Amino acid sequence: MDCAEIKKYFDDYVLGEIDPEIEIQINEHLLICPNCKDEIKELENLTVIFKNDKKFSPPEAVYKRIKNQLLIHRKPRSFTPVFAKRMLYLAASFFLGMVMMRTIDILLTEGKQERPAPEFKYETKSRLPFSDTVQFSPAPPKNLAQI
Amino acid sequence: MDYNVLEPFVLYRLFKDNGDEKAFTTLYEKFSKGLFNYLVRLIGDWHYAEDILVETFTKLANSNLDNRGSLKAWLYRVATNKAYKFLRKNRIEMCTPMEIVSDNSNPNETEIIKKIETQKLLDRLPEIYRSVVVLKFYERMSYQEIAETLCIPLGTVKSRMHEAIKSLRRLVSSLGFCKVK
Repeated sequence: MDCAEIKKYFDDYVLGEIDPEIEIQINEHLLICPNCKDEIKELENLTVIFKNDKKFSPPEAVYKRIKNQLLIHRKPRSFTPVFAKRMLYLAASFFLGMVMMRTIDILLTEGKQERPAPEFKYETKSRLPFSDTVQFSPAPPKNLAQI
Repeated sequence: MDYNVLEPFVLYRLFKDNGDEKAFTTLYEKFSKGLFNYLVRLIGDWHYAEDILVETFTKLANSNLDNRGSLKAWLYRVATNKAYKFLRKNRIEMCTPMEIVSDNSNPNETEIIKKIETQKLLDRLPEIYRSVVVLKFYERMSYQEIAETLCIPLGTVKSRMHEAIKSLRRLVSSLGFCKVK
């Protein structure tokens, strides 16, 4: 490649966006052509001006502003239709479950025959006939300790 | 969980689905610096750059994005559109305001002069060239990434870059810039 042809790729070469095959040809050309070498140097100087330039950072207040903006835009959580729908499904399934359980219970009890109520025989102790006389057991002697 | 190792889109979903504020903060920390620098360089005004940065992240929080494409490219695209809109409405004189160099740090005089000089160069470029130059030189994006970010064909990125460099070379020689040796 001659100078005119190779100069078309100088920008890409300096910016690191060159195809490796062309890059080799440029590198070889630069070894023998002082004019192109100077031009490349000039371009590299131009890019260095920007690349070495300091980056600006946003002040801390910016993030606070963003947070405030988000608080303004944030809507309070409301009773949404989706939530209502879910609650309705939950209640319906609970009710259905109860009905099914009751139905099963009825079906099971209906299938069984009624048993006769067991007869309980209470054996009452023979009571003493009512009498006015009350039998007392003899009281222990008062001077039990002295005996 | 270390949020810094998570993909930007995972962080975004964590914020959107679970309201995880830490995820949003991590996203902000990841992209705000580059985005802010890009905006300052593009519009040449520190305060308006702040406003656009706030608008961009608010839009991110209120949007419902799917995982197609890059989140970084989306952020830069939104910021670029807002910056172009601002520049169209406010055809302000790009005279490199001093506030642009009023950074938190205390740079010495040569650094301030250098900052003004580079911004002067950028301000004299048409906006479409300026955005490509800033993305390439400051954000170190590849041509492909620039094309994705600005939604323009790769060939357009290349041609804009070549035109921008041509203009910059002319400006450097006409303004008598100090060259970095």
